[in-house]
Amino acid sequence: MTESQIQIKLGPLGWLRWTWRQLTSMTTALWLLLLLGLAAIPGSILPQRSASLIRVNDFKENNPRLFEIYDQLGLFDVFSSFWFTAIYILLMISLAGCIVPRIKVHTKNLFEPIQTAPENLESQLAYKTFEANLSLTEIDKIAKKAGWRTKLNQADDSLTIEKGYSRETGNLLFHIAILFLTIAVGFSALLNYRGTILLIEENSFANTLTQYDDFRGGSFFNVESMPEFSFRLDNFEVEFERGPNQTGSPREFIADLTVTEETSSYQKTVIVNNPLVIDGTKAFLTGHGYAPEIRVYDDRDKLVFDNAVPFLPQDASFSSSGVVKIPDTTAQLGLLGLFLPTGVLDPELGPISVFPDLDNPLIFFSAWTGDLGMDTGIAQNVYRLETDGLTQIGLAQLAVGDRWELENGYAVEFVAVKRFASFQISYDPGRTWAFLASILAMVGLMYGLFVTRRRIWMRVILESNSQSKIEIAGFTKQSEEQLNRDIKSLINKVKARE
Amino acid sequence: MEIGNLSNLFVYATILILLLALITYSVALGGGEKAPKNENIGTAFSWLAFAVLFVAVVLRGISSQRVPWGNMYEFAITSSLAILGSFLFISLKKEIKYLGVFVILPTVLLLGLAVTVLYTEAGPLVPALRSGWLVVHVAAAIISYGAFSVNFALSTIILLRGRLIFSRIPKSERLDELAYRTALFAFPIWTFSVIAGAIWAENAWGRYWGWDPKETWALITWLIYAAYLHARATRGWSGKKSAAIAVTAYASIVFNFFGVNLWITGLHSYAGV
Ligand code: HEM
Repeated sequence: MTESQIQIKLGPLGWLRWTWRQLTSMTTALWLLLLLGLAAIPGSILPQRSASLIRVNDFKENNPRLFEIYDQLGLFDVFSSFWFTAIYILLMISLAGCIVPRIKVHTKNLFEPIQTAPENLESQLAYKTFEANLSLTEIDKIAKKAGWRTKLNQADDSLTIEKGYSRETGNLLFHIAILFLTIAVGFSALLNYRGTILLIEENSFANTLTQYDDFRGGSFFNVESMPEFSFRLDNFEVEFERGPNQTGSPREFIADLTVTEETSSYQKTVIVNNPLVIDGTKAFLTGHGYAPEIRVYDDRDKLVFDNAVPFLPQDASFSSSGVVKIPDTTAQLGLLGLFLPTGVLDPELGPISVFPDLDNPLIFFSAWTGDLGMDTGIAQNVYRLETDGLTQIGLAQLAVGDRWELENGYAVEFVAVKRFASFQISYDPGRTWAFLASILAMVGLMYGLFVTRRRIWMRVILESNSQSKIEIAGFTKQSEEQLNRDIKSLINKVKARE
Repeated sequence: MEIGNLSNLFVYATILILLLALITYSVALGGGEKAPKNENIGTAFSWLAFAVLFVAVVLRGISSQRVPWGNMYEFAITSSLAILGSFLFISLKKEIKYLGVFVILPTVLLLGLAVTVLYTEAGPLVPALRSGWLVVHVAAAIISYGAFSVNFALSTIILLRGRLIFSRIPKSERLDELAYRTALFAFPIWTFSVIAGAIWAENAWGRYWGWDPKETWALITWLIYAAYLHARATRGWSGKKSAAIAVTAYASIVFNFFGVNLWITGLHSYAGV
């Protein structure tokens, strides 16, 4: 029959069944596994929105045309794209469709009696014969004691013994656990939230939506369910390598917090790898930087700005950039700053930082006036100053304590330097389930991989008054060595009993 | 002499010894009466190289006062040790000396790159890497890489079979079986490494999985090896088809080490170069 003839004969139900059988076949599973791996590749090479919006925007600026095409294809959100999701959902359906019948067959096997020995043992694996003066009934007892499932067949004087069912049990456990892992991760993605904050020393954070710099909640996340707590960053300590090797590498970050929950207040030290945990919500220390304290006076020497301003680190030596905006004045004033914790003026490179710690803190400011656009009501990036349309009215280098008089009568003071720490705060209800599922997967895998399923047959072929000659052979799809070892040990046990 | 420098000296010595092993193994591949003897000499050199590299790795650990797998250079030398170790360990039980060239050549290349491109002075770790999980996560990865490397060597031969004919190399079915066993050993260890990595990421960055390039490629490797183990149980897929999947899986490991560390930026920037 040709293929087209088969197709004619299949009704709708037949088609469904055919599709189902294809989907749950080993070959399909294999292809889906490979396809999923392939589909993940663009997500590792192109910047992803979920990881870094900034790098996605960079890509957009550098390749606007390509960006359009890629974005249509979902290449900047690979792991939530429809095609990636489709592949893994197909894989999960295939997996479920594959294990359900296997569970049925396996449970049946576990309770059903063992098949009797085939007629011709000689053609089976590891065939040999041995002499014994024990009867098969006695050998049966020995095998049972050694943990084998056995079946004695009086009719043809044969004995079948089996071991290694846990291989299939383990394999099934593994596949079920993988299914659960995926479900746990999927549910978690719907219910979780994750946000980042930047906290300057001696400032506090309260766990409400508005206090986050960046916040992502799953589709079913409920803002009201956020636990109430706050913490103050009392002190933040950093230590950098000062030796000749890996100079400037970070060696230690320590954040001392005062945490306040509903009724209690306590001290907590947070370091990398050791988060603050409250009610399933965790706060992780993820980064740090400097926040110079800046004061600005207007032309009547009135203090119009007095704040520690976080400057974002740009490189490993913590050259950092930041912006000060003063809106409430006749001509709005903007300061564009470069902060250098250990500043030097390199003849070729200009102002650079040569070490990440505060050995010689310097700020290079340029001052701008004009309409900063702060009255438009449109939310602005606080780390950015659009200088188009502004007029530059001065450049200066300031050390701590320096005061800079601007030509419009304003003055800028660099008072001191504070540190800030960044935290990632996350809540992930599927975490524990995912963890449990992966432990089960591991256990199942070990069973599935290291247990050999094997079957051994024995049949008496020659019987004299006390000695009988017994043939023995076996079958396994996995380790023939294991089979050989089992047969040897069985014969040894029989001999030992004689 | 400083301990770190002593370690470097031992690494150079290892490369020299491995080159000798490579020569004798290559000669043996040609066949002839002396082939078994040459293979034995090659294996003796390999054992020597293993011992010398072992000392180098231990000295490196002493000089940096921590486990010797904190940056790309250390990862490369320790992985080389694991590759040699896997090969030699299996050769104690099975006749696989014919694999010599296919194992030693990549090892020498890796060590060569380690001392030239990847070299970093010994020193303490950045805070994010200082965790008990580093020890188990990376140790598991290195051990499984060792076994996957032997799987790669076997798979390469299976693919080359028919094109190149070496009298020393056994039948395809035996190679196939052996390759399968090495992957079977390595896969759970790799799985464990990925899980341990996720736990560590949870502790360090507040999420157990974030599709960081390094994580993504670890998963890609895992998926391809899972496909490989499936292929072995799927009719019509053993032999060259399986071997092709195994080689692809290994390529993803190599890419994860070189490509991701040196080319793609992510959180796992521990290259130190
Ligand atoms: C997420 C998807 C899957 C993953 C990660 C996966 C992974 C694995 C791994 C690692 C093994 C080898 C371990 C062992 O032999 O015990 C294996 C074996 C097996 N898998 Fe899967 N699998 C998946 C889906 C499926 C599907 C959809 C099917 C059904 C078509 C399937 C059927 C099997 C079978 C029958 C074996 C046993 C092979 C043997 O006896 O060697 N798997 N799987």
